[in-house]
Amino acid sequence: MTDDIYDQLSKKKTDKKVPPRSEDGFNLSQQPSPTSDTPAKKAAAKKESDDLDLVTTAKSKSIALEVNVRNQLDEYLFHHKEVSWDTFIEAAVHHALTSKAHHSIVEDAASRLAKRKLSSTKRRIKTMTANVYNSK
Amino acid sequence: MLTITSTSLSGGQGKTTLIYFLGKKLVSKGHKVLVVDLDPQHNLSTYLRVNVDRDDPSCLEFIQGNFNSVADCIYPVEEVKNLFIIPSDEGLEIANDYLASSGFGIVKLRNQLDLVKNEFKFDYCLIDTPPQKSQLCQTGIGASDYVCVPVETKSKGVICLDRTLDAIETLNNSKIINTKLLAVLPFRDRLFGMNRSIEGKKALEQISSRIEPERLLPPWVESVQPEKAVNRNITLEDIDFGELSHPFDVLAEQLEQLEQSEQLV
Ligand SMILES: Nc1ncnc2c1ncn2[C@@H]1O[C@H](COP(=O)(O)OP(=O)(O)OP(=O)(O)O)[C@@H](O)[C@H]1O
Ligand SMILES: [Mg+2]
Repeated sequence: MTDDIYDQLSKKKTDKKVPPRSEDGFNLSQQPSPTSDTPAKKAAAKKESDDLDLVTTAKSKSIALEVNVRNQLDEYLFHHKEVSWDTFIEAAVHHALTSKAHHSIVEDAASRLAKRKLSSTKRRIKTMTANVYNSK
Repeated sequence: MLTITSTSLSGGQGKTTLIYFLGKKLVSKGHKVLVVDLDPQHNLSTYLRVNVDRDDPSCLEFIQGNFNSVADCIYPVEEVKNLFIIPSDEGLEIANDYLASSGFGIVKLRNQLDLVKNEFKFDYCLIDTPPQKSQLCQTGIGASDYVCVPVETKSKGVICLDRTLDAIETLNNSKIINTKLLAVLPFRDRLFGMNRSIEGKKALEQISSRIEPERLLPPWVESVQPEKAVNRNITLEDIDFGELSHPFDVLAEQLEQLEQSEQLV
């Protein structure tokens, strides 16, 4: 083994490419397969993508939002019929996370979670007490 | 190959700056250095002018083992002899999910770097990590023989040091890995003439009280020059501010001693 890493690298490099990724990291094509290399398949794949213009989305997660935030959101959605609520949130989150403020988001989120934990505990205690009284 | 990870759980504490200047310092002393950009923000890759195309193998493929030859993921840094990088792009974010579900996330990078060790003779591998306790950060710590922790000389930096040292201890307690604290770099030390700002002084006291004295590097003085050097992909010596890089002289020497003692074993 020679000591020259440049030599070693150039000998060992292959021309393997990987499935291209979009700006946000997800693969641009949903099912990249090495067999899609034949011209016919390529053309077919291209046609399909022209027809559909698919966007890959992550698994859905239901989210509970604070009432105030939900109201703000509804207000926007009322005025902007051209967006859906999930694409709107998606864009908002994307902007926030790529903005300068992204470090403070974690702090804010942590304090919100702390508050929420407190309030849900309170609610549970309340309901429990209510149930206890009701059952009497 | 001695592996050193720069980690610090808050943002903007100097992790990337540390790897950049330490890497350049070590190659200037004749060593062969591989840097790994484990941060999807890919600042280090950008600073070193290695921008991978969307279909080039990068750190994500390196971690996932999705390459023909490990050499595919390693790129020479242009115009800096003996400096190489496994670069990242935004796509690296996905590695967090991959590592979380792989079950052996903490040791994944270590295993992949063993492949590099088998094929190439790098003297040092330097790893830049993202600013959260994410899977990427953990696998970066798990891969290292030693960690360096840069923290701002501010209360934020002190809190960050506590969280970071805690996280390292927790990972070590798993017994799966054993990484040692090599150095803490006080970052952006504010000096006014010969005097230090009051906050800086207090923060430095707090920092030194938490670690053994020999672990504390000389402070990295607040200045606009490092950013200028980084923006041009050159060193502080190149712009005649070599005296600023004193902490890296000290750190590089410590590493050379460790490397020698490792070779004796
Ligand atoms: N000596 C210095 N004085 C003042 N600013 C500096 C100095 N050295 C570096 N900086 C600047 O500090 C900023 C933060 O540094 P750096 O990017 O290394 O932190 P980081 O911990 O890697 O951040 P992140 O958590 O976002 O990855 C950068 O803009 C850098 O140019
Ligand atoms: Mg960084």
